[in-house]
Amino acid sequence: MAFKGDLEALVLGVLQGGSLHGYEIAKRIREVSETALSVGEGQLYPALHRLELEEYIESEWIPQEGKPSRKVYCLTQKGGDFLQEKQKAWEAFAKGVGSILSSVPKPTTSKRTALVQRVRFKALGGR
Amino acid sequence: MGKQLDWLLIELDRQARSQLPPEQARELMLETRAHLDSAIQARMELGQEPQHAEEDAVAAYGMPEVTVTQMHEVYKTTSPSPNMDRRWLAVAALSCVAPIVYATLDLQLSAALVPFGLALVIPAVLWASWGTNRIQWRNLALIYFPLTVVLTVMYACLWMPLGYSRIPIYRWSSTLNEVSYRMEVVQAAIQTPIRKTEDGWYEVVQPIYWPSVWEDAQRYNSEFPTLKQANDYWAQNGSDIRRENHHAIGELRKMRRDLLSSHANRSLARSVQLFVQVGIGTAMSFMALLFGLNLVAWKAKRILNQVRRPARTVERA
Repeated sequence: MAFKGDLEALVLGVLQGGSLHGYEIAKRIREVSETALSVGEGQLYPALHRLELEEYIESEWIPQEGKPSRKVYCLTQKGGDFLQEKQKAWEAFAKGVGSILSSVPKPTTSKRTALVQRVRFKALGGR
Repeated sequence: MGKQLDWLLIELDRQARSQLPPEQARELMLETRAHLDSAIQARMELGQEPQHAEEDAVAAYGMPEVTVTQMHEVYKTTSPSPNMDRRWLAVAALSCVAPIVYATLDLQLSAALVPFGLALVIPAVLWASWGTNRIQWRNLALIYFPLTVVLTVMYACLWMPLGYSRIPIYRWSSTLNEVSYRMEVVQAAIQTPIRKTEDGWYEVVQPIYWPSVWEDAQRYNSEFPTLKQANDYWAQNGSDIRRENHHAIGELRKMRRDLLSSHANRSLARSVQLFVQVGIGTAMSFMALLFGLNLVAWKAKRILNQVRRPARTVERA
């Protein structure tokens, strides 16, 4: 898979807009992608820590009155550069996939033919 | 706090404690608490009942073991544990202390300077290493260790000709086990005249360096304001002094003889000894210096990054 580190890229992408804490990052990804992308919220933290170790992001604890302190993350210069590389790679990838998909002729089979084909496929042991 | 939230936090804590270094476990717990607090709050603002909001937030968070396992992978593959960091910091601090102690012993710096030096060095090391998440192994392996070895060997090599020479390098103070002999006794032992230094203090002219004993020098100066008086005193009382201190004088003479013969006969051994002694001291000093520079550079970079930080979107409470 070309984009194994997608979660990291998504996090860096939303941090472009400014500093955010963990919950806000997950929320922002959901909102910006119009719920097309959803991040497992618990899995966000390992990704954030990895990015911080790699110095792509930085964090700061911000105390809150009467509530647990929040750790706020922001993008570093190195993270910004890395994100630009990711964007370029993604654009190339999307362009490549897009050009292949647009060159494939649209299927003309009727619903009945498609159903027959699917039944045959299953009968041959396909899933 | 409801049962769901309670379960998640207890389970996460249990898993984190067993798999993560203490600092990361504590940090994950704090982050998770803050996360769930925000998540529940946001759901309640949308009109959900507290019970449902909590259940939803816990469900959205996912399984604690997955989070902890992934977190464990992060720290296993990208960084040594913070315990390792602390060990390295201890090594760095010791490396900084070592040259001061070394200098105190070898260059006769006053022992009073040790706490002063530590007061300067330790806060600097602590400041520079505060917030250090990992040791830069790559830098250590490729720059600091090789550079330390090269510099140490070069510096220690400079001392080797001294080992081959007959230049005395040993100090009597260490040989005498910190016993302070009166100046007259030393003078009698090595049978050389006394003289005055540029500062106006008396000292015994000798081939082997004799550290001045401050109190003794003061006494000598107050008793004999001029060199003539001192020499007259010696002429009148020299034989008595020799007689009274014949045991100490004999001991001193023997030590001096041993030292001189060891200089003459064991120059190669002395060279090697010097190389090793100087090498260890220098390696520690260079290592401390390089390590310190690394930490300061790292910290400076971090500060610069903070300066360049984009505007916050989170409101401070």
